[in-house]
Amino acid sequence: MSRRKRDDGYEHGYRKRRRVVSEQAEIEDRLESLIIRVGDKTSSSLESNLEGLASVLEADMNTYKSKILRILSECPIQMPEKCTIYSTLVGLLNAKNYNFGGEFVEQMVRNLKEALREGQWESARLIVRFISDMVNCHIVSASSLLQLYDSFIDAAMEQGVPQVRRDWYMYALLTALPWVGRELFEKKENDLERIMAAMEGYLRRRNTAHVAALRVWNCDTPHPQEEYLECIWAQVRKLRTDEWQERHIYRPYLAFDSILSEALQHNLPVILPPPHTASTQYPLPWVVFRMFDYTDCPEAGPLLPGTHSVERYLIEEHLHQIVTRHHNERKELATQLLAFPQRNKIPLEYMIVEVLFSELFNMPSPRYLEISYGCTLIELCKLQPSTMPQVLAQATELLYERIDTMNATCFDRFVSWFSYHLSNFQFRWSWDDWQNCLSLEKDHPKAKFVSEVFGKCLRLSYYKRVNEMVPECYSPLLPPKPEPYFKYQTEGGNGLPGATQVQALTELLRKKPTPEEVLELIQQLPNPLKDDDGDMEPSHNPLAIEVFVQTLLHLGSKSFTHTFAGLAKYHSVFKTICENEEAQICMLRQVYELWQNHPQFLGVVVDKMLKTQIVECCAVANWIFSRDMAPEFTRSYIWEILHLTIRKMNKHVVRLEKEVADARAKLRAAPSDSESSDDDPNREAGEKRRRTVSNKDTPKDGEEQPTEEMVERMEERLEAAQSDQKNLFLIVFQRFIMILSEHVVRCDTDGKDFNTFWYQWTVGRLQQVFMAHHEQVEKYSQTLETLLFTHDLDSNILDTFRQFQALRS
Amino acid sequence: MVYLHFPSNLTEEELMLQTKYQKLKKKKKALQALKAPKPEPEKTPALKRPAEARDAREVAKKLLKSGAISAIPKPCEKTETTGFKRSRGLERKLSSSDRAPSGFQPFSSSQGSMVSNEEHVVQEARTKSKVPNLYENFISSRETDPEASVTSPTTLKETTGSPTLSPLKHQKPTVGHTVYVFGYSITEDILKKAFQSFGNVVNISMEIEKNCGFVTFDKTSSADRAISEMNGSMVSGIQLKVSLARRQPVIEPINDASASATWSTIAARNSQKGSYKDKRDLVTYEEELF
Repeated sequence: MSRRKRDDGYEHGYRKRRRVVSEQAEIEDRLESLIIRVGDKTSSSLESNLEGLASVLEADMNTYKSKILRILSECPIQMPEKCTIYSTLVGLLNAKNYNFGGEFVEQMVRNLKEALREGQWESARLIVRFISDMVNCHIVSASSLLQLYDSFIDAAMEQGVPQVRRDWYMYALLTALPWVGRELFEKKENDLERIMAAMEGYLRRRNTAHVAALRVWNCDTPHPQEEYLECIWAQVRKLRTDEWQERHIYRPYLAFDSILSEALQHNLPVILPPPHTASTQYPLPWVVFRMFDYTDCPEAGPLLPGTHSVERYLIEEHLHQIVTRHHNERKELATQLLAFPQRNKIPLEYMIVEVLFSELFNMPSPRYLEISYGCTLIELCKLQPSTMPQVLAQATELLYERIDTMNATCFDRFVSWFSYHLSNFQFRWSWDDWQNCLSLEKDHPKAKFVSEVFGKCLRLSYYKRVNEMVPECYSPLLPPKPEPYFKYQTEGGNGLPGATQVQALTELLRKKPTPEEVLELIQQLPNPLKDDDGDMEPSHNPLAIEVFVQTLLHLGSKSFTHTFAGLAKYHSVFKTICENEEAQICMLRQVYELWQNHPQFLGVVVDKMLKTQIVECCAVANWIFSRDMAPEFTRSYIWEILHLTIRKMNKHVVRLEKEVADARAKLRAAPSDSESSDDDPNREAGEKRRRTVSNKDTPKDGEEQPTEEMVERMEERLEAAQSDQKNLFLIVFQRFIMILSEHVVRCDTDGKDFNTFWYQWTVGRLQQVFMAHHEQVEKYSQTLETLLFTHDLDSNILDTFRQFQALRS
Repeated sequence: MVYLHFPSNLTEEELMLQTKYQKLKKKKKALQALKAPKPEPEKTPALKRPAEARDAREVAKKLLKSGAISAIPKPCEKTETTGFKRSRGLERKLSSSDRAPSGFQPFSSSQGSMVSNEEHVVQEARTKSKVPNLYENFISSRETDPEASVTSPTTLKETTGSPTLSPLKHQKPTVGHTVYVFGYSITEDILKKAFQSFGNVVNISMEIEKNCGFVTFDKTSSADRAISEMNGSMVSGIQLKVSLARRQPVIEPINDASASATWSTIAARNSQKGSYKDKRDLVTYEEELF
C-alpha cells in the first residue's frame, strides 16, 4: 500500500529526471543479484542458469564491466562454499571474452596482494583457493599456478621469521590442493610431487611446542587430537594415494568441459609475498578437535568420514563457514546447518555437534560468545527433536567420560554449557548413571564437574530447585544454601571480639548516619596490631575493618541493590580504613567470610569494589593466593574472580592506549592544517578530520584539539597503568610459581608423586591465565622470561610458559 | 426309464434365433471391414500430441463440448484461489501444497489432476517457446528462497524425523509412548505417583491451566496398560480421563545415552514453559536501608 502511494504522488515529479540514472542503477542491481544468487536453489538446473547468466553478463559487459568485475571477484570470498560455481561462471565468460578473463585474473591477483598486505589471512587463503580452482576452468594456466605455489613455498622456507607466518603460507597451499590436485596430477605430476616433497620437508622440521597448550584433551585416546597443519597434511597425503580423487566438491565445470577446454588460459603474474614486519599479526595455530568416529554413529546411517579423509576436512570447513555467516542469528544458523547440501550422505547431526563443540572449546578463546553455541544447540534440538537431543546427550556422556584429561579452560566452558543446556531442558539428566563420581576424591575432575554444574545451575535457578533436580545421594556435591554467614549471630557470636561494636554499628546504620558518624564509631575500636610500646603506627586496623565490612554487608545482604547502595554511601569510609594493600586484603577476607556460601554474590561484590576502586587489582590477586583461600583454590569461582580482575585491568590499559593514539593522531593532523597549501591532499585530509571532530563535539571544539602537554599527561597515565598491569601479571605468575614449586618440593621430600589432582588443577589455571589473556601477557613475555620463568625453574612449570611462547613464534 | 427325445427338426423359436445369429455375424464382419482402413478413429484425438499450445487448448475445448472429458472439478477450486479475499489459512495451505515444485512449472498453481495430460502438453509447448528467461527464473528463485529457508526445517523434519510430526497432521496415532491425562486440578506429583507403576516414566509435562498433562513412557506397552487401567479411575479423589496423546513424539533411540529420550521428548514439545511451577514465596523488601 505504502509503496503504491509513494509511486503515485510524492515521487511522480522526480521520475523523469531520474530515469536515466535509476535505470542504470536498476540494471546494476539486477546483475548483482543475479551473480550473488547463482547456485542458490532454483527450479532449473545450475548448468542452464550458469549458461544463461554468462550470456547475460557477456551482453552487458561493455557497459558494466567494472561492476561485474568487482562483484565477481568478491563473491567467491564472501561465499566460499560457491567457489566452484563462480570459477565455472568466470570460465564461461573467459571462453566468450578472453580480455575479460584477463582483467578478472588481474583483479584477483590485485585482491590477493592487498589481502596479504593488510593481513586478511582468511580472505587471502580463499583467493588462493579460488585462483587454483580457476585452473580447472582453463582461466589460469597450471604452470603459472605452480609458480605462485613455488613463491608460497619459498615464503614458508624463509628463515628468521615467525613460524606462524610460514605456517600460514603452507596452510594456504594445503587447503587449495583438494580443489586443484587432480588437475595438477594429470598435467604436471612431477611439479606436484616436487611441491609435496617440499611440504613434507617443512612439516618434518617444524616446531610443535604450542600443541600441548591448545589441546582440549591432553591424551590421544580414543581419538588423536592433531595440530591443524599436521592434520591437513595427513589428509592431503591420503588424497594423493587416492590419486587426488575426492567425493565432496561439486564441480559444475565438468559439464562445460567442451566449451572450457577450448578457452585460452592466462598466466598469473609473479606474486611476491610481502615481507614480514614486526607489527604483522598472523593467525594462531589450533588443534583439530575430534570427538566422534564412525563407531559412535548409528550403524544404519551413513558413514562418518575418517579423520584423515579429505572429505572430513571439506565438510567441517563448510560447516564452519556456515557458522561464520550466520553466527548472529541462532535460528537461521540452526536451519542452515541442518540444510547442509549433502546431508543424506553423512551423519550430519554428529558432524554439526562436533563442529560446534570444536568452536566452543577452541583455544585460546572461542570465535564467538560462548552462549551463542549453547543457544544454537538448543535451536538445533527444537528443529530436529528426534535426533539432535540424542546426539547431544551422547556427546555429553563422551565429554564426561573423557573429562579426566580435559584442560581447565575447556572444563569451565563445558560446565557453563551443560548447566545452561540443562536449564533449558527442565534440569533433566540421567543423574543415576553418574553416581560413580560420588565415590571419587573431591578434586577428581568428574566429581568437580558435577559439583560445579550444580553451582552453575543454582545461578540459573534457585536452591530448592537444584536440590529437587538430583537424587538425594548427590547431596555431598550440592552447593550450600546461598545465604550470608554472619558470625555474630551464630552461637557464641556474642563473645567474639568487637561483637558489641557490631551491635552498636547495626543500630547506628539503621538510623541512616553520615559516613563521618560511622567512621567516628569504628575508629574507637582498639587496634590489635598495635604493640604495647606504641612506637610504630600499624598500617591498618583489622578489627575496625572486620566490624565495619561484616556489619555493612550483612545489612545489605538482601539484594545486590542493597549492597551496592551501602558501598556507594559509605565509599569514603572504605577508602579511609582500607588505604593500603594489606588493609584491602583484610577486607576481602571479611567479604569472603560473610559470603563464603554464595560464590556468585562474592564475585559481584568484588567486581563492584574493583569498579569503585575500593580495592585494587593486585590486592585481589594476592588475596586469591593467600592461605585463607587455600580450601577454595580448586573451585572455579575463584578463578572467575581472578579473570574478571585481570580483564578489568586490561580494559583500562587498552582504553588509555586508544585515547593516547587518538590524541597523537589529532596532534599530528593539526600542524599540517595550519601550514596551508603546499601539500594539497594532506591538507584536505587534515581538514576533513577536524571537521568530523568538530561535528562530534561542536561546543568544545577548542578544547578538543589536544596540546602537546595534554598528550604527554595522557602518556604518563598510560605508562602508570601499564606498569600496574605488568605488576599484576608479575604477582599472579609469581604466586603461581611459588605455590607450585612449594608443592613439588614438599611432595619430593615426602616421597610422594607431585602429580596430584590439585597440581593438575593449578597448572591448568596457570595455563588458563596465559591463554585467556594472551594478547596482553604477550607484551610482557620478555620480562616474564627474565624475571620469573627462568631456566632453574621446575621443568613442568616452565613448560606451560614455553608452550605459551610457542603460540606466536 | 425316461428317454430324452431330440427332435431332428428345429423349433420355430430355434430357427429364429439361428437367423438372428447369422445376421449378427454378417454385421460384425461388415463392421470389421469398415474399421480396417482407419483404425480406431474415436481414440485418436485424445492421444495425438498437438505441436502447438493453442491446438492443445482447442482440442481440450472440443473434447469438453463433446463430453469426452467431464467438465473438470477445477472451476470451483479456481474461484477460491483467484478471489481477492482469501483467508490466511488457505494461503498457507496453498503455498504448502506447491512448496516442492519438481521442475519448471509455471502453471503449477492451476494444476488440476484431471487435466494433467493436456496440461503437460501445454506446459511443454510453453517452456519451449519461452527459452530460458533467466531473470524470471532467478527472481522466482529469489521469491521462493526466503520461503524455502523458512520451510526447510519442516521439510527436513518430514524427511528425517517423520515419526515425530506426521501423526500430528494426519490421523490419530494408534500406538505411542505418551498418554494424555485429564482431571480437575491434577498435579505433576499425582501423575507421577499414579503412573510410575506402569513402567519407566521418561517425562511428564503439565498444562495446569487446562487441567491436563502428558506422561511419556519409555515403552509403548506401558502406555497401553496405563490407558486401559487408568482411564476413568479415581486418583486422590480426582477422576482421570486417560487416552493416547494426539501428538506422539516417537523417539527411536539411536544411541545408548540414557538421557536421550528425556531431552528428545522435551525438545519435541513446542512449549517448554508452563511445565514447571515455581514454588518459591515472593520476596519483598520493604525497608529502605542506607
